[in-house]
Amino acid sequence: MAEMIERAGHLSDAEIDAYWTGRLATADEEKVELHLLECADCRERAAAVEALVEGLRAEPRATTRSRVRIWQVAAASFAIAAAGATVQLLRVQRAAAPVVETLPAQGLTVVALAPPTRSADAPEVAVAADVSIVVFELDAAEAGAALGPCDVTLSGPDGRPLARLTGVAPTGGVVRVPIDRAQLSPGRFVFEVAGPSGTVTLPFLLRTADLR
Amino acid sequence: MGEPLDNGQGMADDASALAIGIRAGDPAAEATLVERYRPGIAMILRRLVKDAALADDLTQEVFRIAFESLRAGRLEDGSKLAAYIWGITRNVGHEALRRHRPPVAQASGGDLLDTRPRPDQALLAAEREQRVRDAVRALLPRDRAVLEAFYLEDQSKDSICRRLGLAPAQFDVIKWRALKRLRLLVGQREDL
Repeated sequence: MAEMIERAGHLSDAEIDAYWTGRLATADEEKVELHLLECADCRERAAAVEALVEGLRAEPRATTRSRVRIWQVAAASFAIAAAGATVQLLRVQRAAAPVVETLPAQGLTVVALAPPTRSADAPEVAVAADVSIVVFELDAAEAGAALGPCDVTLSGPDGRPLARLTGVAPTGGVVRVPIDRAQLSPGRFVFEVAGPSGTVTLPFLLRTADLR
Repeated sequence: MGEPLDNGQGMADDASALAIGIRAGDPAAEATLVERYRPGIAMILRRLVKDAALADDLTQEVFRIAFESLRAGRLEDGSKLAAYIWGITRNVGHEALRRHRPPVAQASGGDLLDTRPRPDQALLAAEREQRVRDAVRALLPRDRAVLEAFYLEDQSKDSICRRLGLAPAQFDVIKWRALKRLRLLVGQREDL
Protein backbone atom coordinates (compact mmCIF):
# COMPACT_ATOMS: atom_id res chain seq x y z
CA MET A 1 0.00 0.00 0.00
CA ALA A 2 2.81 2.38 -0.84
CA GLU A 3 0.37 4.76 -2.48
CA MET A 4 -1.38 5.33 0.84
CA ILE A 5 1.73 6.92 2.29
CA GLU A 6 1.53 10.69 2.17
CA ARG A 7 4.49 12.23 0.39
CA ALA A 8 5.89 15.61 1.29
CA GLY A 9 5.25 18.21 -1.34
CA HIS A 10 2.18 16.50 -2.74
CA LEU A 11 -1.50 16.51 -1.99
CA SER A 12 -2.69 13.98 0.56
CA ASP A 13 -5.31 11.39 -0.32
CA ALA A 14 -7.67 13.16 2.07
CA GLU A 15 -7.16 16.48 0.26
CA ILE A 16 -7.86 14.91 -3.11
CA ASP A 17 -10.97 13.16 -1.77
CA ALA A 18 -12.18 16.36 -0.18
CA TYR A 19 -11.56 18.30 -3.38
CA TRP A 20 -13.62 15.98 -5.54
CA THR A 21 -16.40 15.64 -3.02
CA GLY A 22 -16.70 19.37 -2.37
CA ARG A 23 -15.63 19.18 1.27
CA LEU A 24 -12.81 21.72 1.05
CA ALA A 25 -12.97 25.29 2.26
CA THR A 26 -12.55 27.87 -0.52
CA ALA A 27 -8.99 28.79 0.47
CA ASP A 28 -7.94 25.14 0.53
CA GLU A 29 -9.64 24.57 -2.82
CA GLU A 30 -7.47 27.32 -4.31
CA LYS A 31 -4.31 25.71 -2.93
CA VAL A 32 -5.30 22.30 -4.26
CA GLU A 33 -6.11 23.67 -7.73
CA LEU A 34 -2.85 25.60 -7.95
CA HIS A 35 -1.03 22.41 -7.06
CA LEU A 36 -2.97 20.36 -9.61
CA LEU A 37 -2.07 22.87 -12.31
CA GLU A 38 1.62 22.14 -11.79
CA CYS A 39 1.82 18.56 -10.52
CA ALA A 40 1.19 15.70 -12.95
CA ASP A 41 1.54 13.07 -10.25
CA CYS A 42 -1.23 14.53 -8.11
CA ARG A 43 -3.34 15.08 -11.23
CA GLU A 44 -3.10 11.38 -11.96
CA ARG A 45 -4.22 10.54 -8.43
CA ALA A 46 -7.00 13.08 -8.63
CA ALA A 47 -8.06 11.67 -12.00
CA ALA A 48 -8.48 8.25 -10.39
CA VAL A 49 -10.84 9.74 -7.81
CA GLU A 50 -12.62 11.66 -10.56
CA ALA A 51 -13.04 8.45 -12.56
CA LEU A 52 -14.33 6.58 -9.53
CA VAL A 53 -16.87 9.28 -8.70
CA GLU A 54 -18.03 9.52 -12.32
CA GLY A 55 -18.18 5.73 -12.63
CA LEU A 56 -20.24 5.42 -9.45
CA ARG A 57 -22.58 8.17 -10.65
CA ALA A 58 -22.97 6.64 -14.10
CA GLU A 59 -23.89 3.19 -12.86
CA PRO A 60 -27.18 2.25 -11.18
CA ARG A 61 -26.70 2.29 -7.44
CA ALA A 62 -25.71 -1.02 -5.92
CA THR A 63 -27.14 -0.11 -2.55
CA THR A 64 -30.65 1.03 -1.81
CA ARG A 65 -30.58 4.61 -2.90
CA SER A 66 -30.62 7.39 -0.39
CA ARG A 67 -33.00 9.94 -1.70
CA VAL A 68 -34.64 12.96 -0.26
CA ARG A 69 -37.70 14.51 -1.70
CA ILE A 70 -39.07 17.84 -0.74
CA TRP A 71 -42.65 18.51 -1.51
CA GLN A 72 -44.28 21.85 -1.28
CA VAL A 73 -47.94 21.29 -1.39
CA ALA A 74 -51.12 23.18 -1.01
CA ALA A 75 -53.61 22.43 1.68
CA ALA A 76 -56.00 21.52 -1.08
CA SER A 77 -53.74 18.82 -2.45
CA PHE A 78 -52.30 17.54 0.79
CA ALA A 79 -53.97 16.65 4.02
CA ILE A 80 -52.50 19.44 6.08
CA ALA A 81 -54.64 21.91 7.87
CA ALA A 82 -52.81 25.00 6.72
CA ALA A 83 -54.68 27.87 5.23
CA GLY A 84 -53.28 29.96 2.43
CA ALA A 85 -50.95 27.40 0.91
CA THR A 86 -50.65 27.23 -2.84
CA VAL A 87 -50.51 24.37 -5.28
CA GLN A 88 -46.87 24.12 -6.10
CA LEU A 89 -44.90 20.94 -5.83
CA LEU A 90 -41.15 20.83 -5.47
CA ARG A 91 -39.28 17.57 -5.49
CA VAL A 92 -35.53 17.33 -4.83
CA GLN A 93 -33.73 14.16 -5.72
CA ARG A 94 -30.26 12.96 -6.54
CA ALA A 95 -29.04 12.78 -10.10
CA ALA A 96 -25.90 12.74 -12.17
CA ALA A 97 -26.02 16.48 -12.82
CA PRO A 98 -27.80 19.45 -11.30
CA VAL A 99 -30.89 20.45 -13.24
CA VAL A 100 -34.15 22.26 -12.64
CA GLU A 101 -37.02 21.06 -14.74
CA THR A 102 -40.52 22.46 -14.56
CA LEU A 103 -43.43 20.31 -15.56
CA PRO A 104 -46.32 22.79 -15.76
CA ALA A 105 -48.92 20.15 -16.52
CA GLN A 106 -48.36 18.51 -13.16
CA GLY A 107 -47.56 21.75 -11.37
CA LEU A 108 -44.30 20.11 -10.42
CA THR A 109 -40.75 21.38 -10.28
CA VAL A 110 -38.08 18.71 -10.19
CA VAL A 111 -34.77 19.76 -8.76
CA ALA A 112 -32.01 17.23 -9.17
CA LEU A 113 -28.89 17.63 -7.05
CA ALA A 114 -25.65 16.11 -8.21
CA PRO A 115 -24.13 14.26 -5.30
CA PRO A 116 -22.30 15.22 -3.28
CA THR A 117 -24.52 18.13 -2.41
CA ARG A 118 -22.27 21.14 -2.32
CA SER A 119 -23.27 24.75 -2.40
CA ALA A 120 -21.95 25.04 -5.94
CA ASP A 121 -24.17 22.15 -7.05
CA ALA A 122 -27.44 23.47 -5.73
CA PRO A 123 -29.68 24.92 -8.41
CA GLU A 124 -31.54 28.09 -7.56
CA VAL A 125 -35.17 27.25 -7.09
CA ALA A 126 -37.94 29.79 -7.49
CA VAL A 127 -40.78 29.17 -5.11
CA ALA A 128 -44.09 30.94 -5.23
CA ALA A 129 -44.36 33.54 -2.53
CA ASP A 130 -47.63 32.25 -1.10
CA VAL A 131 -46.47 28.76 -0.15
CA SER A 132 -46.93 28.42 3.60
CA ILE A 133 -46.05 24.82 4.35
CA VAL A 134 -43.14 22.75 3.11
CA VAL A 135 -43.49 19.03 3.56
CA PHE A 136 -40.17 17.25 3.55
CA GLU A 137 -40.74 13.73 2.36
CA LEU A 138 -38.11 11.13 3.09
CA ASP A 139 -38.26 7.62 1.74
CA ALA A 140 -37.11 5.88 4.89
CA ALA A 141 -36.89 2.53 3.15
CA GLU A 142 -34.31 3.92 0.79
CA ALA A 143 -32.47 5.40 3.73
CA GLY A 144 -32.07 1.91 5.13
CA ALA A 145 -34.50 2.32 8.01
CA ALA A 146 -37.22 0.00 6.75
CA LEU A 147 -36.35 -2.83 9.07
CA GLY A 148 -38.08 -1.29 12.02
CA PRO A 149 -38.98 1.88 13.88
CA CYS A 150 -36.54 4.71 13.43
CA ASP A 151 -35.81 8.15 14.83
CA VAL A 152 -35.80 10.92 12.24
CA THR A 153 -34.22 14.32 12.77
CA LEU A 154 -34.33 17.17 10.29
CA SER A 155 -31.75 19.91 10.89
CA GLY A 156 -31.60 23.28 9.18
CA PRO A 157 -28.68 25.43 7.97
CA ASP A 158 -27.82 26.56 11.48
CA GLY A 159 -27.44 22.94 12.58
CA ARG A 160 -30.37 23.06 14.97
CA PRO A 161 -33.12 20.45 14.65
CA LEU A 162 -36.26 21.67 12.95
CA ALA A 163 -38.09 18.47 13.74
CA ARG A 164 -37.42 15.27 15.60
CA LEU A 165 -39.63 12.21 15.28
CA THR A 166 -38.95 9.22 17.53
CA GLY A 167 -40.06 5.65 17.10
CA VAL A 168 -41.44 6.29 13.65
CA ALA A 169 -42.75 3.22 11.85
CA PRO A 170 -42.81 4.41 8.25
CA THR A 171 -45.99 3.65 6.35
CA GLY A 172 -44.93 2.46 2.94
CA GLY A 173 -41.41 3.48 3.83
CA VAL A 174 -42.26 7.17 3.78
CA VAL A 175 -41.78 9.76 6.51
CA ARG A 176 -43.27 13.21 6.03
CA VAL A 177 -42.18 16.20 8.06
CA PRO A 178 -44.25 19.35 7.53
CA ILE A 179 -42.44 22.58 8.35
CA ASP A 180 -43.86 26.06 8.52
CA ARG A 181 -42.24 28.13 5.80
CA ALA A 182 -41.47 30.91 8.27
CA GLN A 183 -39.04 28.53 10.01
CA LEU A 184 -37.02 27.89 6.87
CA SER A 185 -33.99 29.67 5.54
CA PRO A 186 -31.93 28.73 2.51
CA GLY A 187 -28.94 26.47 3.04
CA ARG A 188 -27.86 22.98 3.91
CA PHE A 189 -30.39 20.66 5.49
CA VAL A 190 -29.67 17.26 6.93
CA PHE A 191 -32.01 14.33 7.48
CA GLU A 192 -30.66 11.87 10.03
CA VAL A 193 -32.37 8.52 10.25
CA ALA A 194 -31.41 6.27 13.15
CA GLY A 195 -32.83 2.77 12.67
CA PRO A 196 -32.04 -0.82 13.55
CA SER A 197 -29.41 -0.98 10.82
CA GLY A 198 -27.59 2.11 12.03
CA THR A 199 -27.67 5.84 11.37
CA VAL A 200 -27.95 7.30 7.91
CA THR A 201 -27.20 10.97 7.25
CA LEU A 202 -28.78 12.54 4.19
CA PRO A 203 -27.64 16.10 3.43
CA PHE A 204 -29.26 18.28 0.79
CA LEU A 205 -29.47 21.91 -0.14
CA LEU A 206 -32.36 24.28 -0.33
CA ARG A 207 -31.50 27.49 -2.06
CA THR A 208 -34.80 29.11 -2.53
CA ALA A 209 -34.73 32.69 -3.57
CA ASP A 210 -37.64 33.98 -1.58
CA LEU A 211 -37.09 32.03 1.61
CA ARG A 212 -36.06 34.45 4.29
CA MET B 1 -0.60 20.40 2.30
CA GLY B 2 2.97 20.81 1.18
CA GLU B 3 4.21 22.68 -1.82
CA PRO B 4 4.68 20.84 -5.11
CA LEU B 5 8.09 19.22 -5.32
CA ASP B 6 8.86 21.05 -8.53
CA ASN B 7 7.45 24.40 -7.52
CA GLY B 8 10.68 26.02 -6.43
CA GLN B 9 12.69 28.87 -7.88
CA GLY B 10 13.40 26.89 -11.04
CA MET B 11 9.71 26.62 -11.81
CA ALA B 12 9.21 30.33 -11.15
CA ASP B 13 12.12 31.21 -13.45
CA ASP B 14 10.71 28.85 -16.03
CA ALA B 15 7.30 30.49 -15.76
CA SER B 16 8.84 33.94 -16.12
CA ALA B 17 10.71 32.80 -19.23
CA LEU B 18 7.45 31.42 -20.65
CA ALA B 19 5.62 34.68 -20.02
CA ILE B 20 8.44 36.66 -21.63
CA GLY B 21 8.51 34.30 -24.60
CA ILE B 22 4.77 34.59 -25.20
CA ARG B 23 4.93 38.36 -24.90
CA ALA B 24 7.65 38.27 -27.58
CA GLY B 25 5.41 36.17 -29.83
CA ASP B 26 7.39 32.96 -29.53
CA PRO B 27 5.18 30.04 -30.75
CA ALA B 28 7.31 27.52 -28.89
CA ALA B 29 6.61 29.31 -25.61
CA GLU B 30 2.88 29.20 -26.35
CA ALA B 31 3.05 25.50 -27.13
CA THR B 32 4.89 24.88 -23.89
CA LEU B 33 2.28 26.83 -21.94
CA VAL B 34 -0.48 24.69 -23.45
CA GLU B 35 1.39 21.47 -22.81
CA ARG B 36 2.09 22.40 -19.22
CA TYR B 37 -1.24 23.76 -18.12
CA ARG B 38 -3.95 22.24 -20.34
CA PRO B 39 -4.38 19.03 -18.29
CA GLY B 40 -4.78 20.91 -15.02
CA ILE B 41 -7.07 23.55 -16.49
CA ALA B 42 -9.26 20.86 -18.04
CA MET B 43 -9.43 18.96 -14.75
CA ILE B 44 -10.42 22.04 -12.76
CA LEU B 45 -13.09 22.88 -15.32
CA ARG B 46 -14.42 19.32 -15.51
CA ARG B 47 -14.95 19.37 -11.78
CA LEU B 48 -16.55 22.80 -11.89
CA VAL B 49 -18.95 22.39 -14.82
CA LYS B 50 -19.33 18.59 -14.65
CA ASP B 51 -19.30 18.27 -18.41
CA ALA B 52 -16.14 17.02 -20.13
CA ALA B 53 -17.03 18.42 -23.56
CA LEU B 54 -17.90 21.81 -22.14
CA ALA B 55 -14.70 21.74 -20.08
CA ASP B 56 -12.70 21.20 -23.28
CA ASP B 57 -14.40 24.20 -24.92
CA LEU B 58 -13.78 26.32 -21.84
CA THR B 59 -10.15 25.25 -21.75
CA GLN B 60 -9.72 26.75 -25.21
CA GLU B 61 -11.34 29.92 -23.97
CA VAL B 62 -8.90 30.07 -21.06
CA PHE B 63 -5.97 29.91 -23.46
CA ARG B 64 -7.51 32.49 -25.78
CA ILE B 65 -7.77 34.93 -22.88
CA ALA B 66 -4.35 34.01 -21.49
CA PHE B 67 -2.56 34.44 -24.82
CA GLU B 68 -4.23 37.77 -25.51
CA SER B 69 -3.34 38.99 -22.07
CA LEU B 70 0.23 37.69 -22.04
CA ARG B 71 0.94 39.00 -25.54
CA ALA B 72 -0.25 42.39 -24.35
CA GLY B 73 2.12 42.18 -21.40
CA ARG B 74 -0.62 42.41 -18.77
CA LEU B 75 1.14 39.95 -16.45
CA GLU B 76 3.83 42.03 -14.80
CA ASP B 77 5.35 39.29 -12.66
CA GLY B 78 5.94 36.22 -14.81
CA SER B 79 6.69 34.07 -11.77
CA LYS B 80 2.97 34.30 -10.93
CA LEU B 81 1.99 32.69 -14.22
CA ALA B 82 0.33 29.63 -12.63
CA ALA B 83 -1.81 31.76 -10.32
CA TYR B 84 -2.69 33.96 -13.28
CA ILE B 85 -3.79 30.97 -15.37
CA TRP B 86 -5.71 29.61 -12.40
CA GLY B 87 -7.58 32.90 -11.98
CA ILE B 88 -8.59 32.94 -15.64
CA THR B 89 -9.70 29.31 -15.37
CA ARG B 90 -11.94 29.97 -12.39
CA ASN B 91 -13.43 33.07 -14.01
CA VAL B 92 -14.18 31.28 -17.27
CA GLY B 93 -15.70 28.32 -15.42
CA HIS B 94 -17.89 30.43 -13.16
CA GLU B 95 -19.00 32.59 -16.07
CA ALA B 96 -20.06 29.47 -17.97
CA LEU B 97 -22.00 28.25 -14.94
CA ARG B 98 -23.64 31.62 -14.61
CA ARG B 99 -24.69 31.67 -18.25
CA HIS B 100 -25.50 27.93 -18.34
CA ARG B 101 -23.82 27.81 -21.72
CA PRO B 102 -20.29 27.87 -23.06
CA PRO B 103 -18.78 31.20 -24.10
CA VAL B 104 -18.58 31.89 -27.80
CA ALA B 105 -14.95 31.81 -28.85
CA GLN B 106 -13.89 35.21 -30.11
CA ALA B 107 -11.45 35.80 -32.92
CA SER B 108 -8.44 37.57 -31.50
CA GLY B 109 -6.87 38.74 -34.73
CA GLY B 110 -3.80 36.63 -34.09
CA ASP B 111 -2.91 33.03 -34.65
CA LEU B 112 -4.11 30.81 -31.86
CA LEU B 113 -2.94 27.35 -31.06
CA ASP B 114 -5.64 24.71 -31.41
CA THR B 115 -5.81 23.48 -27.85
CA ARG B 116 -8.71 21.11 -28.43
CA PRO B 117 -8.25 17.39 -27.86
CA ARG B 118 -7.70 15.46 -31.07
CA PRO B 119 -10.53 13.24 -32.40
CA ASP B 120 -8.60 10.12 -31.52
CA GLN B 121 -8.32 11.39 -27.96
CA ALA B 122 -12.12 11.67 -27.81
CA LEU B 123 -12.41 8.06 -28.94
CA LEU B 124 -9.91 6.96 -26.33
CA ALA B 125 -11.83 8.91 -23.70
CA ALA B 126 -15.05 7.06 -24.61
CA GLU B 127 -13.26 3.73 -24.37
CA ARG B 128 -11.72 4.72 -21.08
CA GLU B 129 -15.12 5.75 -19.73
CA GLN B 130 -16.49 2.32 -20.61
CA ARG B 131 -13.58 0.63 -18.85
CA VAL B 132 -14.18 2.75 -15.78
CA ARG B 133 -17.83 1.73 -15.72
CA ASP B 134 -16.79 -1.91 -16.11
CA ALA B 135 -14.41 -1.47 -13.18
CA VAL B 136 -17.19 -0.03 -11.03
CA ARG B 137 -19.48 -2.91 -11.98
CA ALA B 138 -16.76 -5.37 -11.00
CA LEU B 139 -16.51 -3.99 -7.47
CA LEU B 140 -17.60 -6.25 -4.64
CA PRO B 141 -21.07 -5.21 -3.42
CA ARG B 142 -19.80 -4.19 0.01
CA ASP B 143 -16.91 -2.25 -1.48
CA ARG B 144 -19.26 -0.43 -3.79
CA ALA B 145 -21.61 0.39 -0.93
CA VAL B 146 -18.70 1.88 1.00
CA LEU B 147 -17.51 3.94 -1.96
CA GLU B 148 -21.01 5.17 -2.81
CA ALA B 149 -21.55 6.24 0.78
CA PHE B 150 -18.22 8.09 0.90
CA TYR B 151 -18.10 9.69 -2.53
CA LEU B 152 -21.79 10.13 -3.36
CA GLU B 153 -23.58 10.29 -0.02
CA ASP B 154 -21.31 12.76 1.76
CA GLN B 155 -20.91 10.34 4.67
CA SER B 156 -17.78 10.40 6.76
CA LYS B 157 -15.38 7.50 7.06
CA ASP B 158 -16.24 7.13 10.75
CA SER B 159 -19.96 7.06 10.04
CA ILE B 160 -19.57 4.47 7.28
CA CYS B 161 -17.36 2.26 9.42
CA ARG B 162 -19.85 2.42 12.31
CA ARG B 163 -22.83 1.67 10.07
CA LEU B 164 -21.22 -1.19 8.16
CA GLY B 165 -19.16 -2.61 11.03
CA LEU B 166 -15.83 -1.95 9.33
CA ALA B 167 -12.48 -1.23 10.90
CA PRO B 168 -10.94 2.03 9.62
CA ALA B 169 -8.12 0.00 8.06
CA GLN B 170 -10.67 -2.05 6.11
CA PHE B 171 -12.19 1.16 4.78
CA ASP B 172 -8.73 2.35 3.67
CA VAL B 173 -8.04 -0.91 1.88
CA ILE B 174 -11.37 -0.82 0.04
CA LYS B 175 -10.74 2.72 -1.16
CA TRP B 176 -7.10 2.08 -2.01
CA ARG B 177 -7.95 -1.08 -3.99
CA ALA B 178 -10.57 0.70 -6.09
CA LEU B 179 -8.41 3.76 -6.71
CA LYS B 180 -5.41 1.65 -7.62
CA ARG B 181 -7.44 -0.09 -10.30
CA LEU B 182 -8.80 3.19 -11.63
CA ARG B 183 -5.40 4.85 -11.53
CA LEU B 184 -4.15 2.17 -13.88
CA LEU B 185 -6.98 3.05 -16.25
CA VAL B 186 -6.68 6.82 -16.09
CA GLY B 187 -2.90 6.66 -16.02
CA GLN B 188 -3.07 5.84 -19.72
CA ARG B 189 -4.57 9.26 -20.43
CA GLU B 190 -2.52 11.48 -22.66
CA ASP B 191 -3.97 14.58 -21.09
CA LEU B 192 -2.54 14.07 -17.63
